[in-house]
Amino acid sequence: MLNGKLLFCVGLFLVLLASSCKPDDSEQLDSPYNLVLPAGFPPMSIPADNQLTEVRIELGKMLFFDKALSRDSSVSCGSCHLQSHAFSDVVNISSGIEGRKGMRNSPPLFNLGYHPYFFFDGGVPTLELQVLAPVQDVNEMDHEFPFAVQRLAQNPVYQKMAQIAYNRDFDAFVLTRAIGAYERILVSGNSTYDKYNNGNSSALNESAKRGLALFNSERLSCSGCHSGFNFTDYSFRNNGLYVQYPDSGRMRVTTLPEDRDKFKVPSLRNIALTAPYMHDGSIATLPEVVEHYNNGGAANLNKDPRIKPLMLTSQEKSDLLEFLYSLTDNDFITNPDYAP
Amino acid sequence: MNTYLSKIAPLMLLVAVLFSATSCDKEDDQEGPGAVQVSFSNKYACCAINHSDVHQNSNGRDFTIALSQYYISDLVLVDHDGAEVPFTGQYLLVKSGTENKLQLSNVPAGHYHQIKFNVGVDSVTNHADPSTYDAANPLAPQTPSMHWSWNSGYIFFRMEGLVDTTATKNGTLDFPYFYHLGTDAYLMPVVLDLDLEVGDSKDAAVKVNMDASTLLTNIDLGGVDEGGHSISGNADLAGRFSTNIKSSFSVE
Repeated sequence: MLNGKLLFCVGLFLVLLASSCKPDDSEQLDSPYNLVLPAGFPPMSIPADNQLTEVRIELGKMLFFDKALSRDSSVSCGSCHLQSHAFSDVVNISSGIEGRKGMRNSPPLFNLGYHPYFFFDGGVPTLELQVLAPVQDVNEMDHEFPFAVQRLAQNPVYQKMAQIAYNRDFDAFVLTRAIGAYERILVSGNSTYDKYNNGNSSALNESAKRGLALFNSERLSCSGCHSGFNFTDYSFRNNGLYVQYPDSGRMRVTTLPEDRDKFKVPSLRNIALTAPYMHDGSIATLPEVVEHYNNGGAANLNKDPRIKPLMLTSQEKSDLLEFLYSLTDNDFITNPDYAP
Repeated sequence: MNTYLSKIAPLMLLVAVLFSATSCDKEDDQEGPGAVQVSFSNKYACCAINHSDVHQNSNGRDFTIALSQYYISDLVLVDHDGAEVPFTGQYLLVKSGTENKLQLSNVPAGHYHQIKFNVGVDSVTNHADPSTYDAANPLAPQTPSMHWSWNSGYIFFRMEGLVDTTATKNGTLDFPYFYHLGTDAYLMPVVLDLDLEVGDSKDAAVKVNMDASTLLTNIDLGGVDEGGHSISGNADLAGRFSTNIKSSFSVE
């Protein structure tokens, strides 16, 4: 017969083993999220520490639209990333807290899981790390990150969801991961062009088809940089906006003179929704953008060789625009799953 | 049999307690035999840095040091045979006006004649995600921030204050300067001579001072292009500043 003292010790041993880390029974309340990718899209790589789940995404969405993230609780991520505009903003430079202005145009948010780096200068390698930047940027939310975490951690709903989604108290990890998870499901690939590309040959009208041929032509070389399923090769290029730039772009990160005034090539998906254009929002309309490329741009030392006068006829310009309009994905901007 | 089990039961309990203590990355505060405490202090010449003290640089401009903090990592003790005892994975964020101690444990007994460390963090750590660390870890997001969120990487050395930029140098502290130095290229190795005896029975201590009065050698603080931005954008200034940082340390 085993004595009572021994049983107690063995029992305590097991209890201590089980309790030495936090119990993970709360995980049962969450379930994996099945991200359905559009036809023709490659698999999206998702970090091991932030696999998609229902509660992670829901928590991320709540945080994305929570103004408490900013120092004076006046702006959220959603303040400058509007779903109706493919999660971009309608002004050239968005206002942060107290109406402060940064120096770059708010980019649209979709298909972010495919981006190899973030921001126009590519200074941030992951979606999760990206979250740190707008919170702390003095012209955006101007919030010390630990203070933002402390404030949000006081919300009992966030605490509960953090336990369910990540099996830990609400902290910087939960904040960055949850927003990253939400942003990863913002996938756009059901435009008129996509329907055409996936076999519906009548989806594009004749003008848009001519525009597509121009877009892919060697003469225009648009698809030399705006390539692939997401219409970008994510490279850094100068497109001749100015002779001298107030913002040195990629060079700000690398300090290399050859990177001066170069900016990440943006996707052209939903381009009709994301005016104004360019890294600084300096071109108001899409026809004016086409005109900029047609003119060949300003004589910047690092201008990409593809940027040269194109001699487009007015018919060609309107065909090109017709194609660009076909890149709008109306399902994306009306999807209730993305809305607060 | 039962007697045998009842004898080892307390041992099992001990094992369980040890397991629970170590399985969640709890810091072990116990100073075992061969423990060495390395402390860092920020000074200005003789004395501790006082944030409101007004100093004068070699060009006659008054300035203050409101903030001076930096990361210490990859500390190594070198014994008299030249053998190195590394303490990888230990990071310290040194701030002014607080105790900054790095506790080294399991240091083999012997005589050590050099201490080496880096100001900054290695490139792998530099590009890791601060939000993956527990909030108490010096590599976690800090207030004020020691991480560039727009160009992911740690600020290795952060110095800020006010400086007189008036033409007549009349003593008005009119300009908030800031030097933020980082990026992999500016990891700053420091090697200092040491006379340290580590024995089995006694704890040893090393006191390292950083003298901020040497940080501005060959830098015209408050001059045109010499202050007021993150330094990585100005390689020449960053080079001078990092040279000064490396020579600002001494063992007391």
